[in-house]
Amino acid sequence: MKIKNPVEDSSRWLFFLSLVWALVLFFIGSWWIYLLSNFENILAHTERIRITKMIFWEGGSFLLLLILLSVTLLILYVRNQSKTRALQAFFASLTHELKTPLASIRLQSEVINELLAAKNDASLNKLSARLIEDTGKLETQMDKILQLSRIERGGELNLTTLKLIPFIKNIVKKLGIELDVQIESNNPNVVVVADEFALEIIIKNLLENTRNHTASKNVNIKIEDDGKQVHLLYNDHGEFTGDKQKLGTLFYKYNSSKGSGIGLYLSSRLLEKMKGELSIHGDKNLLFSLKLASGEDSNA
Amino acid sequence: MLNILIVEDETNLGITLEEYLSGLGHKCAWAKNGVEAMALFRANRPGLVLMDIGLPDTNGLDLAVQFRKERKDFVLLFLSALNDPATKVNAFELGAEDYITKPFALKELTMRLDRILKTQTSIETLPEEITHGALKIWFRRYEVQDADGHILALSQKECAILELLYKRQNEAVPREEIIEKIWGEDKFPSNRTVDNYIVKLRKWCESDPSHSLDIQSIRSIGYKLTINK
Repeated sequence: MKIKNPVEDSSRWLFFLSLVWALVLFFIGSWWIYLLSNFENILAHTERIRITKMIFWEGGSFLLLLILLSVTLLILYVRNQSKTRALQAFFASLTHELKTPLASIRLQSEVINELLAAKNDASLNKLSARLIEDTGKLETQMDKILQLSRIERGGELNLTTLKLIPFIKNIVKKLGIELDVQIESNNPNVVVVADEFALEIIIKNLLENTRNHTASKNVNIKIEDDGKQVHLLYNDHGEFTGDKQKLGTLFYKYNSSKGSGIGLYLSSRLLEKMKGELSIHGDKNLLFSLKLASGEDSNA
Repeated sequence: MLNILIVEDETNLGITLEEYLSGLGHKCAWAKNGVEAMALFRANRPGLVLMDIGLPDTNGLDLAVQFRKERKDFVLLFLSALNDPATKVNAFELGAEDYITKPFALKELTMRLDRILKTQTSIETLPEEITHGALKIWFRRYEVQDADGHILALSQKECAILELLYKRQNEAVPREEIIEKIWGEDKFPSNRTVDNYIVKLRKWCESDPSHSLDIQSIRSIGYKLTINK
């Protein structure tokens, strides 16, 4: 199953409906003008004035009503669009404003952590480690919101070539999640064309979904590189009981207590921007399939 | 020990960075805005500048341009909450060693500092000006001169790669080693990325018709710098 873009889908419908509406309006208007100008020839002299007047007033009010309605709809649409944009810009700037104090909190806690390491106090060490872990979680959420608003406003990515396997291993290590991640690949030096930060968000999101929604601690990642495309299959042996059709829709949360509902949707949008694709296979045990452009190494 | 200038408008972040890095034995100064930063830059002659981008009176990128106009022999490291590709590209075009996004892990920063320190110490063992045929190298200023007399500015990484190859002259240096020494273990550039850096250095070498310096690509291994004069 491919992940659909609800925003694009709905705007396509909206465009189609407006087109139909405009055509109806055009034909009614033309028909009315035709009647007005040609009734003189069709009707007898005695009836003509009365009927022309009737058509003029009735048709005129009807047409005016339709035009008014269209204008109102147009105004509402434009307002809604600008409101959405303003809201996105607000979230982006708010999240951005939160980043500097968060950086400060993280720095202080890491310094505390280092100072405590020398003192050998197990309980304090545990507390400071949790503090760092939580700032990490907050950071991931903020990155997702920022990237989402950036992508929705047409922001571009910076594509480079990078080595996929050590890249994934490093994310697993950095996240510090207790998962057993096995990577299998037909090319141990597989290189992909991707935006480093975007790919980090995508991989992190998959791992975090596994942590939050799956009982199994085993993750299998199978990578196939055919020289043109790199196909990554992510299997966390989880059991999905939600609505698969809705999976990946913006704000859809399968398990409502956790997550923001933007991870998979954002991942698929980011992959699209990297000329890749995200699709979901399987019924209960979901397989996440990522396609990325292969970055063949010169002289390798 | 590094001589560091921290340009950061957020008080707590600035103070903590200054205290922590001083604790590690570096010489640190902290500026809260562009004006202070310029004064400290002139007075202290730092070897490393940790630059924030959103400053109250100026933009970190513009400030870096001004710094570069005054002196070239310092390493530039951006620390910013902004994470859009355009800003990052601009920063790297200014010859920044790296662009670290906030919030950052302390280890990430200290690892960068260690690597910068290593390169700097290594560069200091080399003479100020090196001449081979028509080519000249000033490692400390991150500049080279081609055979036509043009002075070219090198980025931090280009300079570090050249330094590595130069110190191991007439010896093939594996790509993996270049990646490990120049990028560090938390970055994953492909071999092609390394090749792109070499292209500029090679072009510079080739400007000399007598081939006093030559960078050869050794297939499936890496690169070799040979000195012919």
